[in-house]
Amino acid sequence: MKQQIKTYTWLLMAVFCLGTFLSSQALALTCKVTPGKIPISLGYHGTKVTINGEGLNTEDVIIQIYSPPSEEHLKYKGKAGGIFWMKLGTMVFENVPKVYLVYSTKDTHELLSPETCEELSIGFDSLKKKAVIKSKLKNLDRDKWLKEFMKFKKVEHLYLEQSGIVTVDPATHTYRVEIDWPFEAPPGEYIVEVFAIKDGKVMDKAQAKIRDERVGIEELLSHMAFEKPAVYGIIAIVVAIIAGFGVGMVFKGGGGH
Amino acid sequence: MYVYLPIALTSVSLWLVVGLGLLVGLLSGLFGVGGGFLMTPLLMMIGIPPTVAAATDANQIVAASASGTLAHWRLGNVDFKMGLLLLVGGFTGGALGVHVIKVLRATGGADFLIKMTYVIMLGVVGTFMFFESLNALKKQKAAASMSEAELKAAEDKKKEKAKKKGMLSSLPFQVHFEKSGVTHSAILPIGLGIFVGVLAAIMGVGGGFLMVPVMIYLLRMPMHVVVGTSLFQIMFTCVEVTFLQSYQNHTVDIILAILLLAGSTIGAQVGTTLGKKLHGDQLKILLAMIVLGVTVKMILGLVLEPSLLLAHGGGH
Repeated sequence: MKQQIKTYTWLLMAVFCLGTFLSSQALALTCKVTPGKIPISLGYHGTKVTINGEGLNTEDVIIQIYSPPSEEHLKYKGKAGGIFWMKLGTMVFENVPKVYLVYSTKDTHELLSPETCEELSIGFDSLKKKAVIKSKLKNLDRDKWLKEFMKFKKVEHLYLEQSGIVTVDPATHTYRVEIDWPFEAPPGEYIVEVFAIKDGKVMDKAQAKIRDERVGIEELLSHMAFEKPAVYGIIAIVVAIIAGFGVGMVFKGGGGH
Repeated sequence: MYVYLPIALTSVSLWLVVGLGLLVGLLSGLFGVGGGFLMTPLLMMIGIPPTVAAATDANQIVAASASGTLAHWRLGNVDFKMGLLLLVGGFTGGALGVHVIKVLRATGGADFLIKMTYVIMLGVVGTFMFFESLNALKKQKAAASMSEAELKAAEDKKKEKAKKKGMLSSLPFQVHFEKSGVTHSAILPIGLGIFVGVLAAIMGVGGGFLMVPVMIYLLRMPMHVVVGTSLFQIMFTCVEVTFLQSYQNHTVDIILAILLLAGSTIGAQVGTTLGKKLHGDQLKILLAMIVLGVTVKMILGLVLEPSLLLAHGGGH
């Protein structure tokens, strides 16, 4: 009898643990990106991308999309001889993503402390701290050039920070945002990270991926330009000559001369 | 309607690019210039990376100049003999110029030299052409009011002046260029071709706007033959540049080139037809004004602080 009670107790405990586990699984934060693959075809001019998910137990969310950190080789401008503005040399920005987009319910500074942002690599301040600049420029002003770098990337629509754009529904524990995916974003794989925020802390997080890739004629031409450059060059010349002479013939036929 | 460019990695309005091609093609047909000095900055303004803009521009110039050459050849306006000699010089000068740039890039003085060469050459050529054409137009008005005897006396004076230019005629390898109606030593067009080739390579352009004044003022070729012959030699120069840029730098965007040439080939034909209706000096004064406009824009770009202190590599 004693043995039976012991067995039932263990069974009850196991059922309780399983129930707790399953309920926690049902409430886990999810992240879904639609479309997950963006085809870059001939008429491509960017697209709308929806990011949504369930299991949100907070009222605030930060979503960041980024490409893996890499190097950016840029030219810096300055005054030559104290008179003329021109490109003076190369500046290499290391450990920076080519694309970095941040969307949130509120300003990230309101939601998280600078320390937490840095720890979790969230926001532009954290990105600036991790960036490395290499240049032959004497007395390099790191803050000035990082500011210029951010400005440059924002003008190219590759860096963006937008708050108040993500909507949260506490009743259904869901969140949603629709973004304009920039056509300037180069083909590749991007990471989408979602952070559920409460009282200045990250309560939960989820991750997904998004990929934009060239398809059809875009893929064919890009492949040829890099893999068979001589053939590509000859085709470019032949197409131009035929087009030039062709239009010349048409104009003659039409009585242009 | 938008089109995604596989090498430039950006999306552009189809009509905007075709329109740009049409505009530059029109200038090409009118003046015999490739239009590189206008097209590359215009492409950069619509978001094309500088290296892709310069290389693709050369590709579309092949089409525009082929179309223009054909139109001028039909009109009997291409001096093939002169064109070939200039081409030999141009190729040699281009190779020399590329080497000069390589050496300067290593020492860090290339960008300064490129910018200054651009501004000085454009400024000098534009100013000279403007005043020369203005004087010619004034002289025509004066000639219209002269009597026949006065006209004959003026022409005799001109001929005597031409005879006195004996230094160039004493050079060896004298060749008569039937189409242009001039006799020069073969050394002269080859030498001038080298000079323009070096400058064109340093400035990263086809050199049409330099070659045209050289043909008019130094080789004394008639304006209608200058345009056709210039287009003929530009076509070959740009074929070479297109191949090298595709092979070495992978910077030719064939879709962008097709859109541009769709506009520029038609523009070149329209320009040629329009050119026949305009007087040579009117054409020269128009080109001079365009060249001076580009010069002023470049000077402002050099003096005023840019809104962005970082930029992609390449371009002007």
